[in-house]
Amino acid sequence: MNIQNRKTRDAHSLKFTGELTIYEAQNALNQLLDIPEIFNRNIKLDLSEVTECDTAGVQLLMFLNKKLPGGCVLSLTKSNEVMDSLFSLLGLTYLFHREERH
Amino acid sequence: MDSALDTFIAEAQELIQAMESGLLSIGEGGWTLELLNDIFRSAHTIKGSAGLFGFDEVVNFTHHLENVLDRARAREIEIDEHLLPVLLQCSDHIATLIALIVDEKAVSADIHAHGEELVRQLLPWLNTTVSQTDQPGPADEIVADGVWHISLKMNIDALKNGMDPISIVRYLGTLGEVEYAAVLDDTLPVDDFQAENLYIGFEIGLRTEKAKSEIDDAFMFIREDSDIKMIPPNSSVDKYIDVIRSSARGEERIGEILIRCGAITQAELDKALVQQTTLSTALGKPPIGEILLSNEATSEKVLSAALDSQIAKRPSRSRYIRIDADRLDKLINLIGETVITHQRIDLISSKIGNVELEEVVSDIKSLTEQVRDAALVLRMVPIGETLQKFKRVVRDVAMSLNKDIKLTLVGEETEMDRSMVEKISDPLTHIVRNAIDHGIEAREVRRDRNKPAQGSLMISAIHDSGNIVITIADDGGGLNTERIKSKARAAGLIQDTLELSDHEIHQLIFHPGLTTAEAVTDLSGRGVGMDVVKRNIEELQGSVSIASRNGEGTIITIRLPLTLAIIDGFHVSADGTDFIIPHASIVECLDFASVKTVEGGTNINLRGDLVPYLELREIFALTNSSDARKKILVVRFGEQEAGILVDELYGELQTVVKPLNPMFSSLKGIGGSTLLGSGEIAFILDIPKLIEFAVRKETRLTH
Repeated sequence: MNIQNRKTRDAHSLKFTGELTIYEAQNALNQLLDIPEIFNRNIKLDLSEVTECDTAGVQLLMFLNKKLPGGCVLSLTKSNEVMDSLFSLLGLTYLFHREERH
Repeated sequence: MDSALDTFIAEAQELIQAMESGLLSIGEGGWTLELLNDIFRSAHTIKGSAGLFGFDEVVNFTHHLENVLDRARAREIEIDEHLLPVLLQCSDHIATLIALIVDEKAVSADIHAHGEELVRQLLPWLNTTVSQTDQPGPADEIVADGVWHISLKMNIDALKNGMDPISIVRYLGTLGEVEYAAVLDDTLPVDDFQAENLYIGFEIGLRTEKAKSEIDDAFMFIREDSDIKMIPPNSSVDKYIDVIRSSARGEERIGEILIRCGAITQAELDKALVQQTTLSTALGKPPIGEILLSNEATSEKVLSAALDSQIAKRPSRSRYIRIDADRLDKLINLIGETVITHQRIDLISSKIGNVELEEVVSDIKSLTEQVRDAALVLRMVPIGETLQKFKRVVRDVAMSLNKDIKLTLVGEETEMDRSMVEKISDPLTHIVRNAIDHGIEAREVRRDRNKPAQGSLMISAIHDSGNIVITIADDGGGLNTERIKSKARAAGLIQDTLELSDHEIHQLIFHPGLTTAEAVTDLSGRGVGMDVVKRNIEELQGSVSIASRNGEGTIITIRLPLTLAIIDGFHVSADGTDFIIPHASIVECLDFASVKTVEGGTNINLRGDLVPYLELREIFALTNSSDARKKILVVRFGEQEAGILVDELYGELQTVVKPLNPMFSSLKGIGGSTLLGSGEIAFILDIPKLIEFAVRKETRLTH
């Protein structure tokens, strides 16, 4: 799992690449915690390169959502079938302010 | 009988056995909560499934047993030496009831009365008295069409332990339609979040027509340390409210979900929530836990018990499939033919002498052999099931003789052919009973001999070069060599002058001549029907021997082939017809011209012994007479020998036994057939029958 952080004008764009599972969850969390400033702004997620996601992965995204202070928005800019079907199965679409796909 | 019923019966029988062996383990001091849970689940599952089929007698009876077990599980009562025999009898009674179902017989008044008597015996351990209103219906098994609400909260370490709740949600999706799902993050910490801990919970609405038990299946791996609530469709609002309450902060969200799916209305939700607030103000503390307990106690109990039962059933369901033994036999039969057909191809290809063809043929040969071995393995079952039975035998027989005996089983996982397992059971029982009865001494005698008061009996099974070796060892008094010797001399079995080793003398107990009624009472050791045991084992192409040391104990060793589907045989021919003689029965092979015939030509003189002999031509009315130089094969079964006159000896071969078509079942002396590589049919001789025939014929002629 690799997380790329690109800072834009009003948000952090986080691109997740690889598998977001229990095997990589701690690694992913460490990468996120290494950039504490992300938790102060809007976060845009690009999950299109996530190959696999399990409960640990979902939980990490929920953590991200919960950790964001009020006023900051978590949105999903890019996704893929794996993630979409997971979100719809679990009724998790409410987590994100969804933006149009590029 | 339909297949669901078959499955119920097979399962019930397994569960009864599991229950029995569990109870026996507890009797041996092996009490664990897990074991007790297993026993409880067995009883519970039998009750539940019996209810489905409307076997009220089973349901009603098992219900009481279950109650007692449940109390034992809750440590309210102990399973002591008074309760244990009653419980064992109860499990016997259930077995009786199941047997009646198998035979499609009604429960007789006697059996019903016996059940009632057992329930009366259970009374001291039941806190409630037997009342008719207490009868459980088959209601445990809920089958309802509609939306189930399932609340799933797993242990915090679940992810680390390799569980993935989402996969369970997905699995639920295969049972029907996931109407709604929600993930609760109320316990997910913002600070000190550990990525490998599980904080989130799941609320799922599942629309399905499946029975509750099938939904339960989804949770069988996680049941132990998860909090799972299942609300059947159309339940009262209270149930939903409880779920909402029990999740600390997720109230609104679950409330929303439930309203959306129509399980409850907004008004109901509001009312319930207000009620709770009022109550909590009045009492000064939130009564959530208490309300929850009071409202849910019963259903929760039913639920967890039902789930428990599913876990107990799990291994046999998911990893094994049941196959009709006949189908398996058919498969093995066909594979046997393939092997034989292959032998023909082999013969033809070597005639043609094409190298490429020969290579392919040899490849097919190794493949068919592998397929054959794999198919034979399908029929293999662990011997443990049969051995487990002896725990009960030992316990009961030892108790009736006031002896204390510990049975140890070794190698329960050792496998052998299913049909063999069934056939070996009786001889083994005989040996085990003998060991307890005559082998292991009474407590006082053991004390005088400086032995532990508790006798020990060990049954072990191991594989040894294509055979299975079963040993039954006791630390009892052993055989009295002198007594056997004098008995044998009196019976004329051995001559006074003959010098025999102790070991040779011990083998005499298998001789029919020694097992007279007088011998039984006189001999301190065994001797009861051991000749029958030996004959049974030899019928299975096996052998049995005994080793004993006076005062120290006895070991009986049984050696059996793993299967009867393949035999090692000796290929011979007589008058142009091919025969196979099982290898194990052959004693020796002689040139007919070199032996002397006596008594009008029906006996040969074999080193002074008269041995009757047979001509296959006579028995099977063969017409193709040949004038080849005859050979005589001496075969043995039990203590009797006979000669068989043949034309040609071709040598050893391993062959697949094909049972004879039922049409030929009246044909005596033939045990089966096989095809030879040349395509010719060879008959497998039934040696015990032939010997019997030879001996009878000889007696008829001489008397």
